[in-house]
Amino acid sequence: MSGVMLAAFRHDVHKFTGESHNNAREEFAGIRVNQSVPEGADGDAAALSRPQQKQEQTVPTHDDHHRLSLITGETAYDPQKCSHSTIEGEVSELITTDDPQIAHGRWLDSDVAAAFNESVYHPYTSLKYHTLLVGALLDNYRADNTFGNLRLVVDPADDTVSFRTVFSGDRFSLRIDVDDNGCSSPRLGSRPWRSWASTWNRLTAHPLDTDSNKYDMTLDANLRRIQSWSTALQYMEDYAEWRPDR
Amino acid sequence: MTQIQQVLWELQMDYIGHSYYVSGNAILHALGQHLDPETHTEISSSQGVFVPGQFGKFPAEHSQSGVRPYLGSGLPDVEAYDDLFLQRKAIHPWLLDTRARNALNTHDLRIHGGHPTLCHETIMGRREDQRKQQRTTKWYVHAYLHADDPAVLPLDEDVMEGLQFGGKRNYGYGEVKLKDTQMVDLNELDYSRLEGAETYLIELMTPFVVESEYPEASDHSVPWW
Repeated sequence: MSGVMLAAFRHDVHKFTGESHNNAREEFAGIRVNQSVPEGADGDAAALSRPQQKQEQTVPTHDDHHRLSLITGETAYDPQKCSHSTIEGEVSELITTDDPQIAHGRWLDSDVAAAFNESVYHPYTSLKYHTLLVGALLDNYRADNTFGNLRLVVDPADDTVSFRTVFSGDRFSLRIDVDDNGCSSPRLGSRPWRSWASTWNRLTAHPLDTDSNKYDMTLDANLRRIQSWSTALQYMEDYAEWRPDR
Repeated sequence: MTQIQQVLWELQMDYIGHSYYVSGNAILHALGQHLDPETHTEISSSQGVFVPGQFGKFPAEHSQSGVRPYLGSGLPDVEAYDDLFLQRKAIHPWLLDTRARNALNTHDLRIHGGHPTLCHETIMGRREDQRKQQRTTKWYVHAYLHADDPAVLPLDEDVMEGLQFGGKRNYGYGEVKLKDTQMVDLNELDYSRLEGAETYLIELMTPFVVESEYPEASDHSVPWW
């Protein structure tokens, strides 16, 4: 059981190391990595965040795995601070635990995973939130929760549900689950597609103060313009750090 | 004959104001500086939708097809009912998957006097070594004007020049220039896709006021201030 969930959190280590999917190493820091994820969870999570048919460079000036930020238009990668060995150290801390619940918590809090994208063709996507989405989908599928029954659920901050929480902020958490405690949370749809804005638009209990707080309104307005799930979740994290009013 | 006027303004300066759209009231207020009071009272304006001046592909339901270089920065002909809504959705479904559509469709932000302001353009490739490949995308504001008296429209182009939307106008914020405008005769449009449908999904767009500093606002069923 725990092996399958651990595989989900270790399936994309080759993106940290800059290896292609086909030439990815089998071991990193003495553990098995880059294995395929069962139940189609990896492909479904990818479909939530980026186009699947065409693989084409969407930003001509950027073709590596360092993520571009929607806030700054630049990468968080600083060659002065982020040496190869520092990154290796942080990545091994992220993935080497044998406890999949601890691994989930580390991914939720990870900075290093947020510095990488999930595809060099789509540099604004986030490896951190892609991997958390893979984990949430896989855990649901293993409990026989089909995609068509999954919902986006808003939880209080620090209310983390193992594997199913995909975003943990200071003010609220977001979870992909079938059980929403009767909150009529929006469904993700019948199949995975880039449905972020469509789903966020249908939230009934809104976690932001969009009546009067200018920074919340601006964040919300931009969130309603984003299709990609991993890009949007990462934007919420980056925005919380950027905004000067909190 | 029911005619409406489609207008596209290009943002020249950053914008401080409602971050979801430029309200119809703000557009009317700006036009009011250039119109005589009789004409001004005849005019109604839709919300102004923010549109990125980007390449795009006409959606399947549009009367035209194919990719256009500047779908977001011009006004394509309106021949069918669906054409009216091409640039009206915040998600802008016509943007190309071969470009960084999520980045191009979100506003870059700056801070002025403690307020978040929406940048009037998005610049990609900002690093020193990328200067030659820098790409700039301008933002546009798309709106419809309607008048009860058909003789009032179209408004002259010079009336729609030199407007400012939003706050901090003394600092030059919210300045726009007219990019394009055209009249649409609603009676002449092709409604065949609408007539052929069995069910409809009606989306009501309305400014929804939950609180106001305006005196005795709760007695007004339609917020007009």
